[in-house]
Amino acid sequence: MDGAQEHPSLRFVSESLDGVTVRSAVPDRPFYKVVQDKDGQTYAQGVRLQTDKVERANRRLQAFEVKEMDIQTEGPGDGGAEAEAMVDEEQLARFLQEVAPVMEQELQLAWRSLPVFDAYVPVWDDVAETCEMTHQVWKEGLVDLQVTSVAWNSTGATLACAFGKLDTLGWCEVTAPVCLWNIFRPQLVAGEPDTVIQVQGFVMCVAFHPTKPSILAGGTYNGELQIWNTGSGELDPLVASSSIDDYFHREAIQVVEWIPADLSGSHDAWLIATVSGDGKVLLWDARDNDLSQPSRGFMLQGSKKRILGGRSLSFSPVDPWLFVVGTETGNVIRAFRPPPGASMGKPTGSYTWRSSAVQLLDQLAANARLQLQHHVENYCRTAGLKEVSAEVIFQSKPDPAILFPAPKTTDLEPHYGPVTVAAFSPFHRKLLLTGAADGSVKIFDVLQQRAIHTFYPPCKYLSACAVSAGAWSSARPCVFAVAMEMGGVFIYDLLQSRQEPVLELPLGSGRVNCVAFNPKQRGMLACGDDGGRVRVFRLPFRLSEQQKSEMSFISDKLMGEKGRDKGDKGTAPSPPPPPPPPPPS
Amino acid sequence: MSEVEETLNRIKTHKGVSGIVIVNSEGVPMRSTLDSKQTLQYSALISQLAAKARSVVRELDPQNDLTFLRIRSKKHEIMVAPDREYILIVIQDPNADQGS
Repeated sequence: MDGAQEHPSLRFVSESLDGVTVRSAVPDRPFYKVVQDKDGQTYAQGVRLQTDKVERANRRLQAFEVKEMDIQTEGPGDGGAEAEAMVDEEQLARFLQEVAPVMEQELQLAWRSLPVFDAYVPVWDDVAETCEMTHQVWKEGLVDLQVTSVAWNSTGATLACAFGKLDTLGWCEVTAPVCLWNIFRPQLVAGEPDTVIQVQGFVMCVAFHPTKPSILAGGTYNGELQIWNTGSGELDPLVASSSIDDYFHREAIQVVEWIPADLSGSHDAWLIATVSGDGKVLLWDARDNDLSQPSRGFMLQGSKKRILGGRSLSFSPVDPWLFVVGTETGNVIRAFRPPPGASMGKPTGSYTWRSSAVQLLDQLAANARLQLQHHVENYCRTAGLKEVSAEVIFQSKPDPAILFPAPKTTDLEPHYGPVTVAAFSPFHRKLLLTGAADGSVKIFDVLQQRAIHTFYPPCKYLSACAVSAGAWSSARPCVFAVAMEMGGVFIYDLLQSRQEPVLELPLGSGRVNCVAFNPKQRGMLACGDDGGRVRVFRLPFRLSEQQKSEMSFISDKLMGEKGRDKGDKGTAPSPPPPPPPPPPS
Repeated sequence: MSEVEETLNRIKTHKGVSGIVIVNSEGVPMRSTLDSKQTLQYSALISQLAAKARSVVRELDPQNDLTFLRIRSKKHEIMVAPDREYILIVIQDPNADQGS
């Protein structure tokens, strides 16, 4: 509309409308009642009116665009450079002039007074001064089975426990479980393990893989080595199993231990070492989950070629060529497995030697190597084989004495009964703990023949003094636990006393067969007993927190007393320890 | 070499000295031998602590004043020389010499 030129009056239009009729809405019956007031006037009371229906409508609105924005303040450093430029040199110099002498004086003083507070360690957190049992687990429905071995996995969260009958004689037909508990789970049911692995011929010893938390190795009473993967979620966690043969273990495997394949190689190459009563120490390469034959083996021989049955085994954590075997007759044998030498190359001739077979050959001394080569080649000729692999070598049934040579050994001071415990300290490369059925516990400097200390843990009767298990603390280098066969677990702290235990676990009754320190949660100790129970104790704070002077105490006081190698500290202030010296060839 | 540099170098030659920072009264670093992140942390935190320590000393006795502050920790010793305008911070590492 062109309103600008239009005269305002033109906007009004005259119009007439018809009249509007308004219908009375009063019904026949009056809704009201006439009321007379006091002064005579009348009022209508109760008039009802009705308005039109109110219309309502629902409307929804939705903003459909969202914008996000991040805001970040500038790093405080951005302003710093600028400020540095504004320094008043002169003023600064004056300040330094004033302050520098004091500072220098204090620096010198501080250096001299550094050792003053060495022994002082503030305690920031509330500490537990008592030793208490934190968990107790068992397997419901097991009758007359003992705990043969306990182990923590690498994360320290899972506890594995092997059950068996320790008084079994001869061939074993018992099927007993290996049970796993995720012990710190809040909904833990004490009688029900999270995983149960049934094993024919019970398991004597278990050990978790050092880095993979779900890989577990176990050695059975009948002599098989088995590996389980509990994390695979499959019904049967068995990954691999060795067989029973003259070349493998004929008797119960006493110890299973994971050892690094070599120090220089990749970190995840591990071998499994086993020892049994038939005198063999075998090393198995489990990388391909193949346990059909050991990658290496040794036969323990005493004087006059007598076979020595192994009872306990420990590999040095820093020098994998060095190991110690405790025997059934009480010997403590320090042994070296020679590191793999330079390969002599494949044997030439009409047979093709596979690399697995060459590896076996390379471990032997020159004349044994020739003997084995001839033997295998003879076998191949009669069997009509052209290729020689490791399996063929075992099939050819060579003399076990050739295949498994005696390692270079030195006898340490013996015990007078089966050596049930042999354990290298995880902190110090020369410190070795042994315990035996004669009731004694010894601490060795592994390079010396005589023990540094011999302990006799307290026991009620002399006839019941056998030591059944022992372990170094994973948190404190001077602390170890010793379990007595007839009951009682004692904690020793070399820093506090070099004669007496400092603590006895509040066990009550029950013989303890095995102990294991948690690798991550310091001061957590699991004990497996005769009644099929595993109890977990938390040691007091002072026994689980490393003390400042502890490593120097071991190297200076404990080792130094014998005097021979006073200059050799042989230790690092903290793990990891220094690389070991090259093993003697 | 300026006088400032000279003094700082002298302090640096003391046993175990692993770092020097000079901070002004506003907590802004003036000189430092540490990397920039550490410098900022030390200058901000230590100057706050020094101010607090000074106020504690003066609260206890209005006639008194803070002259020096030494903080011993597991890893090092931190020396603080406070002043009206600036604060000198020196970090001494007791294990510095044993490594070599």
